[in-house]
Amino acid sequence: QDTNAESGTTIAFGDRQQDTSAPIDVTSKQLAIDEESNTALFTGDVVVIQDTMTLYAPWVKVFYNDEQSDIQSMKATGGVTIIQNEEAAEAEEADYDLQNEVMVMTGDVLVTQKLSAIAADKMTIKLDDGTALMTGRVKTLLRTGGSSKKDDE
Amino acid sequence: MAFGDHAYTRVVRGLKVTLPLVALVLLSTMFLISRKVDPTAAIALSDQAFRDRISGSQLSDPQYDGNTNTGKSMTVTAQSARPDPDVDGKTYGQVVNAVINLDSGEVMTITADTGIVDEEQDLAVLSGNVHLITTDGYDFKTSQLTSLLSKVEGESAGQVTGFGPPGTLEAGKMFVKTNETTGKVELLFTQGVHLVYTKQKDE
Repeated sequence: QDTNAESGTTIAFGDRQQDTSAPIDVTSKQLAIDEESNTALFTGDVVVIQDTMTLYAPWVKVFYNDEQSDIQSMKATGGVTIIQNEEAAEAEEADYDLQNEVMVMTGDVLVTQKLSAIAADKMTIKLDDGTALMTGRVKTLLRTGGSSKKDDE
Repeated sequence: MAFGDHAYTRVVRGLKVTLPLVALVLLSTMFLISRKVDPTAAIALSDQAFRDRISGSQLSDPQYDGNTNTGKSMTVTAQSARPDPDVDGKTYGQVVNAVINLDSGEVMTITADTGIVDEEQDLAVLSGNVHLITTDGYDFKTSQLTSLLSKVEGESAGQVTGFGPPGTLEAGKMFVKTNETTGKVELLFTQGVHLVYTKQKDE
């Protein structure tokens, strides 16, 4: 059992050129804006697209800074899928901190790459240099050729 | 010679009688032939124009002031308005401007081409280029907005486009609601929402 949470596997994820200050395009079924608390709650098939990254989730809450002129962070729950170029990462939740350019995915994280898939409890993606640290019961699942795109164990 | 003198005096004596008679006749007929001046027909206004004036009862710069039950004050003004002749408490307004003061000190201003305020049904319907602006930067346009008078609650008839501080927004429908617990105003967009956040470059 992998006790030391921090010692995980560092993989390359995403694209080094991910521009976290690029415009963010959000589509969803519903959106609730609370006038005073600087948040916007998207619900229902939410798709968040920024530069080369696309995030799918049923529930995404966006937190602005005080002047509401900028986004500080985003929280997505209810089963999140992030696709960046050919790589996909799935997890229960994802927290995207735009200021520090870090995306943390937690809960049954599964990263599928061309030849392999990696499962873990938590994944911390550093978007500015395109690396991701997988921690907590990290398992690498090798593809045995001819299998379907997503291995559903 | 006698005749000559007599003729002159006789003529003068005749004139002394006829001239006043003629003056008298002239004076008396003057009133008979003068134009009729009928004091009762003083205003030259046709009955139809008069009837229009009454039914229209046009008001200019009318103002409707109301407080919502959560204490938010709402003022609706219009360039011109006229009450519905058969339904009382119902007013039709042109170029309507509604100003709602929210608890947080923010102000929500809604302008529209026409507006109907119906106090009986506790309803205001604003239509035609409805433009909703809040002081903290939200700016939405829609074709029609229906809202209650007693509290800040309303919905757009259809598509809404606009922008907020973070970005531009399009949605199929918009609801303005007061959260029962917090008493705060919430904007809910439904039937498909598309929002584009653009980062302020000046940061």
